Amino acid sequence: MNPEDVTDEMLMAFVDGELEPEEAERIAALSGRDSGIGTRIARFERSRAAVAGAFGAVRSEPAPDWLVHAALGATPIASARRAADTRKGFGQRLGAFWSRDGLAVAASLVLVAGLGGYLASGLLRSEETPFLARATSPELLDRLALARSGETVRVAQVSATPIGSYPVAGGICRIYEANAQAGAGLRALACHVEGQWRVPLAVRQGNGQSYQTASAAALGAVDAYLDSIEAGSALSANEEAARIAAGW
Amino acid sequence: MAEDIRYGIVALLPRLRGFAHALAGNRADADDLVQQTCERALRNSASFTPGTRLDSWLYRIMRNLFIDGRRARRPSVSIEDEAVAETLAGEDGRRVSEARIALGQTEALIAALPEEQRSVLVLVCMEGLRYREVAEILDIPIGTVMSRLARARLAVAEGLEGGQSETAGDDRAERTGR
Repeated sequence: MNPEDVTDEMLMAFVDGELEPEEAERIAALSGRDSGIGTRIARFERSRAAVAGAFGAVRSEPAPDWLVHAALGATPIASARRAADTRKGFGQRLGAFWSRDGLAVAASLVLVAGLGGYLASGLLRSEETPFLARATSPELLDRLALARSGETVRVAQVSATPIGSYPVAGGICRIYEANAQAGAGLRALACHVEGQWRVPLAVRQGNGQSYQTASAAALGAVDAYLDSIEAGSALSANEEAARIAAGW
Repeated sequence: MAEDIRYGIVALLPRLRGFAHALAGNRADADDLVQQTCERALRNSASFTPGTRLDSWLYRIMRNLFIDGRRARRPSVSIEDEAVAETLAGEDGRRVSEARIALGQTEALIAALPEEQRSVLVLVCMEGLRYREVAEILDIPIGTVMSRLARARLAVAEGLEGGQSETAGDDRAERTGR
């Protein structure tokens, strides 16, 4: 192969790892003998590196909550941005979801408040969403349903502990904490609705680097949510045990 | 609708926003494009094949929405011939100067490219997709992916080299007190 036979597309494919091994070896050998080929290769390397780092700011920042809502299909898409623009307080928004739609619909708004409210404020980072999915999975919720408050269960490298159980209109809600080995943690509500456990609210707690006790923000958000749905007082240990035995 | 698709879309939002910015050129239009993409994806979630790449599916939806939107805004202009598109120096010139106000040098160079080259460039170099995957997303032959990509890469490289020589010239001027 002569240098004049080498096209820009071939050199670019060489840089991008798209050539067959034999062809890549020929280009590599040629670049060692011909400085012009090396210079042309360097231009493709430089442009790839520059574009790889483009738009870094927007790709590293948390998505705004109205976009998270849109991605989850949690609210009618057309109203998602309007809802974000109303600048309502967190508790007000939660209350609005619940009172307008009732327990069944609110329970289907999985992680709306957790992702929408707290991802936007930077308290929950986008790379934590895999942990969030495991910490709110049906498998974990089914195991939690069999645990009394204070008992810890482990599912898929996530430890979860019920904190308390609260009667609400049409069902029951339980506060629980979940932590991953890597240190990510959340405080969430699991509500039993129409025979299924769902998570209408999850709030990150701790700094994600190490375990911390519940932050004031997480405690406040969960309490405000329970208040907004007029939850009753916590069940006693005996009442809770009876509910567990009866399958809630 | 499978919840894991929704979680997948949420996890991909930062990357979708990056591609949308490359297409739309500004934050507001980009985020509107992301929202439209989410809406379209959720409405047509049954057409997504589990086990295939969700990101590729979403990029295809987003790019189609962008093209549709551009056609709607400028119904009398349809640039199918890249050679013609590249001769529209007046439009590109305005885009370069406007983009340089708000964007970094590389972003401005990307914004100055014809959309056909911009999409290929960003999907390969920023999103790390293979040529074959980009060809499927854009529904074009792999040879077209390569020719568009090579032209875009050379344009960006030339722009970066021009910027570096300008900076070097400024440095020399400062050192000599001119």
